[in-house]
Amino acid sequence: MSSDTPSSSLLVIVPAYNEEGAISGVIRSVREVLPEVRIIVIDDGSWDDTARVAERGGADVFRLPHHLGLGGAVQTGYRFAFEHDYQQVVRVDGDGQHNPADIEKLLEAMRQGDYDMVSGSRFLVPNGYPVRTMRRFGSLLFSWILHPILGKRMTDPTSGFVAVNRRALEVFSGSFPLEYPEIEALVVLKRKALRFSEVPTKMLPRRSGQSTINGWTAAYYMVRVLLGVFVNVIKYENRCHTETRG
Amino acid sequence: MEQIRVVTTVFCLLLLFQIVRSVRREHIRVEYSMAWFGVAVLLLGLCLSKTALNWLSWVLGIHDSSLVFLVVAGVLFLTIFFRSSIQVSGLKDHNIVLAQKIGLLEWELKRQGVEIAQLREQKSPRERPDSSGVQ
Repeated sequence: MSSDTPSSSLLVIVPAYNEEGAISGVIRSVREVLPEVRIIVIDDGSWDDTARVAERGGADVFRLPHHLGLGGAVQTGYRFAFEHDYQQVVRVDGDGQHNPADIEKLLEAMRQGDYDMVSGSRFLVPNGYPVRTMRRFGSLLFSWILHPILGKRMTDPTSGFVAVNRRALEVFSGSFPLEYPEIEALVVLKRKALRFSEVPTKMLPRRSGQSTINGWTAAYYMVRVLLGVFVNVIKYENRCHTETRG
Repeated sequence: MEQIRVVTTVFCLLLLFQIVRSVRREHIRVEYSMAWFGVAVLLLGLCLSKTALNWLSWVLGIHDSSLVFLVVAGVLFLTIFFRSSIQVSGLKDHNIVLAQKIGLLEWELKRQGVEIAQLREQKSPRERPDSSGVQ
């Protein structure tokens, strides 16, 4: 079947920036779980061999001409999925921290609860992957701040392991936060009256490299995300999807 | 006060000269130079006209003329910087869309190239018997 008529309604997107050490393992582990599903790696202007390694691993690779940031890379995948009539998209990060065995759990929750987006929460797993104190504190703080805005508690609002349906795809392909998009994306969905939830998922150690959020970037991250949330709350636009489902 | 007027006049003239030079060399587009032209001319007018500066200090309620000049210059520069930020944000949005489209189009081109190559390969064995017949 040609790419214009997708063989499956499900697409897996993997945003990656300088992940040559981890990307082939990520593709392989997704393939083990979903052998028929198209995997697209969005190479966000890496200066290492990420794109070539991903192609050798059997994924389709979109090479962005320069670094856009995580949100720009993820939105490229969402745009492609929306334009090619995919019904569901799962985002798996290129560092190998997400366990593809949990993808079915995300999709099942989305189907069962008629949610538009379901994300994986590492904090709902007892004795899961150990999280650094600062990270845990940040997640708790965001969770606490977001509670009144979202109208529900999200234990892991920074999670990038998400499944979205066509309704969310339509929203995200048109507008998606550029930097640190996960938290703002929740607010965007809430503003559009779309539904979201989270399920417990296991977090694995990084296959290679290290997190970009540490030290001073963590402080910048906090301020930047809080400002983004505030802007999204007060944003003026014609509110569509005003009917709340469920 | 006279000294600061001389200094600011020289600064404004230098700014005007630099704007004209940048426009001539196409370092700055005409539409983006307009705001800077306006600021330079306005500040130069304030430097050269004592009456205008006195009137403005009366309006603002500031008795120190040099402080008036600084306040006006500060407000004008902040306005220009803010306007520039809006323009940069718009350009960044366009840039993101373009970069995404390039990424998608390059992949599409590559995919079509592979499909064409496969079609040629499928076609060539059928053509081979004819060519062998000619030989």
